[in-house]
Amino acid sequence: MSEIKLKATRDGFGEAMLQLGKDNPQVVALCADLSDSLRLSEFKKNFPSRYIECGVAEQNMMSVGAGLALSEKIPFIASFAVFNPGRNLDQLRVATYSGLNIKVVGGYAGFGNGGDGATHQAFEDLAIMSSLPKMTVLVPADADQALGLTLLASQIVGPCYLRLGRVDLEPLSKFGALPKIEIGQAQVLKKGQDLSIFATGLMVQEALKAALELEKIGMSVEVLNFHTIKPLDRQAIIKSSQKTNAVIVAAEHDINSGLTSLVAQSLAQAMGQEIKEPVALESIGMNNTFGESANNQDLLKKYHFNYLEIINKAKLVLNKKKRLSL
Amino acid sequence: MPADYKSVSKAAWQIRQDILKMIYHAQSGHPGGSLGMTDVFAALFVGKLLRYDPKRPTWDKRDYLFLSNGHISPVLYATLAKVGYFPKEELLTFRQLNSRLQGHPHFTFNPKHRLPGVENSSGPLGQGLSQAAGMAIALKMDQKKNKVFCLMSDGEQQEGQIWEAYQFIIHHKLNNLIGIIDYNQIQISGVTKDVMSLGNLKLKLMSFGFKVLEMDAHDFENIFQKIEQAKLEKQNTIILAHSIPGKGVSFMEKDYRWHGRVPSESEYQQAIKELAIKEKNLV
Repeated sequence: MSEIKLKATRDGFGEAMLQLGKDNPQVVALCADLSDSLRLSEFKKNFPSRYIECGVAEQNMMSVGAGLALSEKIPFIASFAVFNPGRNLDQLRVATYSGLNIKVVGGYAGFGNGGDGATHQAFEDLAIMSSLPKMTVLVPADADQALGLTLLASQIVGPCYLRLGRVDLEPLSKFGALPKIEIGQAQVLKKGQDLSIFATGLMVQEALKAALELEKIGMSVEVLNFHTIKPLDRQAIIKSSQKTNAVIVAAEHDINSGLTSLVAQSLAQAMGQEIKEPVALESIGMNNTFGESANNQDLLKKYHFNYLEIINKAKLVLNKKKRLSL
Repeated sequence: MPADYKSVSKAAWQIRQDILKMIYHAQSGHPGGSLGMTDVFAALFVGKLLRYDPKRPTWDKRDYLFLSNGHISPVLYATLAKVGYFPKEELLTFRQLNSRLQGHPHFTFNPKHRLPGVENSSGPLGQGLSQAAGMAIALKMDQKKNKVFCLMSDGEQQEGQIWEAYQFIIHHKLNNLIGIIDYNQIQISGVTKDVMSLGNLKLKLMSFGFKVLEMDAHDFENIFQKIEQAKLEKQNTIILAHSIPGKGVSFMEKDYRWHGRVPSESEYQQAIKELAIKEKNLV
C-alpha cells in the first residue's frame, strides 16, 4: 500500500495559482515577503511579471491590490491571516465597499504558526471577514479542496477570502467519495441520525474520525463540511439539525464569532419556523483566550482541536438533547 | 491673464460657488481643502491637463485621477459636473439619501450606482496613493501609456501607509504615477506643524527617490507648467501644491476651522457674493 502524502491547504493553493498562472492572464499575485510560506514561489518563478512583491507593508499591499482590481486584474493578495486581514482591515474594507474583485489569502490561520506564538495565530479572521458586506469567505478542509476553492474564487466576481493553514493533513478522500465543491453549499460527508457535526478547516477530518469512533459505540453521526462560511448554507444547517436535534460546531477559530455563532444564529432564527423541536448545541474553538508557542500538534491537543474532544462534546450534547426531549 | 487661463479661472470661480452650494445645502462637508484645490482641479479638467472624455467615462485611453483625501469630494464632484460627466442639478444630492454623491467618493462597477468620473473609493486617509500605485503597475504590465494622478493632502502624509506606498512606487519604478500633495498647512484640529509636524517634506520625499516640484496652486501659468513638466519626467515625481485653504472666501482663507465647517446663512451669502464678484472681475 502506498503511503498517503500529507499536505497543507497552502500547498493546494500554490498548485492552483500555478494553474491560474497558465490559464488566466488576468490573475496576479501580491505578497508581503512571504512567498515561500504562502507557496507562491513557483508562481513567482514562472510568472515573474505577474508576481508583485510588496515587502513587509501589508496596508499598502491591500490598496495596491484594490488598484489592480480597478484595472480589472484579479489580484490574489497574500500574507499571514494575522496581518491580512488583521493589519489591513481598513484598506480591505474600502476595497470591499467598492465591490472589487480581490482575493484575500490569509495564511497560517489558526495554529498554523505554532512556534511563533499568539502574535502569529489568527482566531478572529473569520469573524472579521464574515462581517464584511459582499465578501465570500472560504475555508478549505484539505489541500485538494484548497486547490478547487482557489480556482472557484478566481471565477466569482467580487471580494473573496481564502483561509489557509500550514498543518499537513490527510486528504479527505481517504474517508470516502467527496461531493463536488460548490461555493455556498456545505458538503454532506457522512449521513447520520443522532448527531450533526458542522466542521470547517482542519476540524473536518477530526469530525470524520470522531464519527467513525462514535459509530463503533452505535451512534449514527452526520458530518458537514462548511468550506464556505459566507454565504452560509443555512438550509443545510436547518435540514441536518432538524433531523438530529444535536449539533457540535468545530472550527479552529474563536467560538464567540465565526462559524459557531453563525450556526447558533441560524438555528435560533429558524426555531418556530423551519425548526419545530429544540436543538442541543456544543462547540469547539478558542474561548476568550490567545494561543502560545509550541509545536502545532501540542497546541492542537492542548486547545482541544481533535477528534477526542469532539467525542467528549458528543456525550455532552447528547445528554442535553435527552433533557430537551423529556 | 492669457485667454487660455482666463476661461479655466472663470470655471474655477464657478466651481467654488457650486462647492459652497453643495455644502450649505447638505449642511455638512469640507469647504477648506475643496476651495483650496479648485484651481488645480479646474486646470486638470477644464484646462485638459488630464486626458479624458466625459462622454466615455470608462475610455481605456483616459488618464486616471485618484482622489486620496476623499473629504474634498465637493471639488471633485463640482468639477466633474462642470465638464459634463453628469448633470449639474445632481450636485445638490450631495450627502443626501440615495445619492451617487457620497460624502466621501464611492467607486463601484455597478452602472446603476456608479458616478462617472470617480475612479476610486476614498475617505480613510492614506489609501489613495497605494490604489493609484496598483493602477499604475497594472498599466505598466499591459504596456499602456495612460497617466495616473493621485491627489493627497498634507495632513494625510502623517499616515504610515503613505510612506509604504512611496517605497513601493520607487521600488517598482512607477513613473506613470504623479502625486500631487495639497500643501495647505492645515488639518482638522489645527495648523499641521502644531498637530504633527511633517518636518521637511520635500527632503523626505527626495530621500525616498522622488523628484519634487513645487507649484503655486493658484497661479494657472505655474500649475500648467509644473503638471506638464511632471508628465514628461522619467523620474518618479511628486508635486507640492502650495495652496490657500478656503481660497476665495475672505473669512475662510488660511483658517483651519473651515476644514470641515458649514457656513451659517449669512456667511454663506457673503461667501457666494465674494466668489461671484471674483468671477465677474476676472481680468
